[in-house]
Amino acid sequence: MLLTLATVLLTALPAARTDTTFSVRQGDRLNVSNFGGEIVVTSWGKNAVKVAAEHSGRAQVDVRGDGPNIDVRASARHGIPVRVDYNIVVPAWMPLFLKGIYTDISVKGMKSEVSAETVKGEIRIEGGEGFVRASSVEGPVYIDGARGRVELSTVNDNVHVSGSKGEIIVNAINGDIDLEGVESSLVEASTVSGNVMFLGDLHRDGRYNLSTHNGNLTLGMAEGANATVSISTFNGDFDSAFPVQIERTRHGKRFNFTLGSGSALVNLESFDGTIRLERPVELKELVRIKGVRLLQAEKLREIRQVKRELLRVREMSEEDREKSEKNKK
Amino acid sequence: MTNAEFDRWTDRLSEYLDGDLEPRERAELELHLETCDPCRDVLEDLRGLVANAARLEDSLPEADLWPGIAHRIAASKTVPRGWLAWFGGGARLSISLPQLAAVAAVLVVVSGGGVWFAMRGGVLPTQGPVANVTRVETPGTTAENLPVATSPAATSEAPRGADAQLAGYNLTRYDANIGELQQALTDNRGDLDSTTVRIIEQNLALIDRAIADARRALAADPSNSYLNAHLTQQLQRKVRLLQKATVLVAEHQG
Repeated sequence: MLLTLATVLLTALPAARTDTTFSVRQGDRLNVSNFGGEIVVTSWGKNAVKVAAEHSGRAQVDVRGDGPNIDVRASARHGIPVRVDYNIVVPAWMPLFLKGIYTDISVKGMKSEVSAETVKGEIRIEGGEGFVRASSVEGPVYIDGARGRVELSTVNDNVHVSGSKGEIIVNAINGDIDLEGVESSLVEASTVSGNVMFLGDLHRDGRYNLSTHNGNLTLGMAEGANATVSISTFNGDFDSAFPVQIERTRHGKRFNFTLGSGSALVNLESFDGTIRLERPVELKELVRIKGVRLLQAEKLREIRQVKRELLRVREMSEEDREKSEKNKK
Repeated sequence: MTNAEFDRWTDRLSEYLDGDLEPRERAELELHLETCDPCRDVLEDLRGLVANAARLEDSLPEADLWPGIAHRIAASKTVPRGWLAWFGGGARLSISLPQLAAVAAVLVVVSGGGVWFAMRGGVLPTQGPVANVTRVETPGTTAENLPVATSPAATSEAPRGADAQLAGYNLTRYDANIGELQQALTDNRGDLDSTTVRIIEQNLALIDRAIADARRALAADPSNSYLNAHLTQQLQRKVRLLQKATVLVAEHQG
């Protein structure tokens, strides 16, 4: 294979940086495992992979080729876990399988299968085709512009999907699920404690199952939509931005209504929260405002972090000054 | 509408949903549906069941995952290292083979239970859609040790009382198995990354509250098919989370 390095061992440079580029061919796939730090993957037009990694001097990054699999992982003496920040560039066709523990994962510009899994960290995927899978225990998942089947899960954070097309399956436990600008004929989104929002086109014959136990559920739906809508709740409420003609009340707090031809099947369930239909334009505005707030919150976090860092540097400077004064005395 | 009419069509709804009726019968049934609320209810429940069955199938573990885990565990009887140890850290978590087998068993219970819960709505005809039911076995466990999931076809032929007994049996086993897994996590929590353990335990508690809510609601309204499906969903979720914790440990040892 073009990846002539059957086994390449890249010893860390004194500056604690690894940098290597090797050629690959169609059919190869990249597997990256990381303990802590980040994995950032972007794409380029070359049939080659560039692995740049920053790490401590005691670590080394191994790149191994085994048939179509190219494995990247770091190790250190005595098996001590190491933190590595990877910056990897790959051809857009290359399937990616990325795994970490305390690791943030970011992927951009791929036209291939992407699988990302971390325990504590954020996952952000822009692109991906065929099969896009992301799973985090403690960290948010952001997906944008995916094509194909998308399977996402988080335990203790939110999932946000935007501008994506294909089957979308999302499972969360303690977190919100936002699906925005989604084109799909199959959507399954479910959480225990969190809100669920869907803003997208309802396909003819599409199936949309959204559920939450302890949260609100909001669906952006035009009055002219063609859907059979089923609402189920136990302690919750139903609210609609436009009048709907309830056809049939079923056993419990459950009822159905049909819009237009009723071709799409929409199943909305919230045990304890409010189920609400919003006009798409209004919901878009709400999403925009929410986005601005999130951005503001993110900026605020960054500012606080910079302040903390400045404080730490100042304290260190003062300690150094005190030490040097003591030494002078 | 007469009882005879209802009986005649309610058994054909599954075929209708599957598109298996002749055009003439289909047209007749659709005419009947316009005037028959109970049949429309059955049809809605069937649609819900199909959707739930699809969910059950999706939530099952990858079939090839367990043999690998079980094989590795069987070699040493316990998982020797935690996922941190995979990277060389000193964290430890021991999950015994029976406990791992319990996870597999729970999946079977919940799969079977899910079907039963959906049926418990009390309106299914005898020819319900068949959900995929998987029996998961791991080395060291015998078929006798594992609760057996039953297909809708099997339960539909049994008297309703038998269904209830079966479900009761499965639920008991489910509780026992979940208890074992939770105990394993509790026993080893000191060896794991404290934040991750805390997060997992907090979320298990969250699911438990949802399960308790659903059970309370069901006690008040046992024939509500939404509540039945909702309870199943929460049970599945709990299994998935426990499974996730176990898999993290097991796969990181290698």
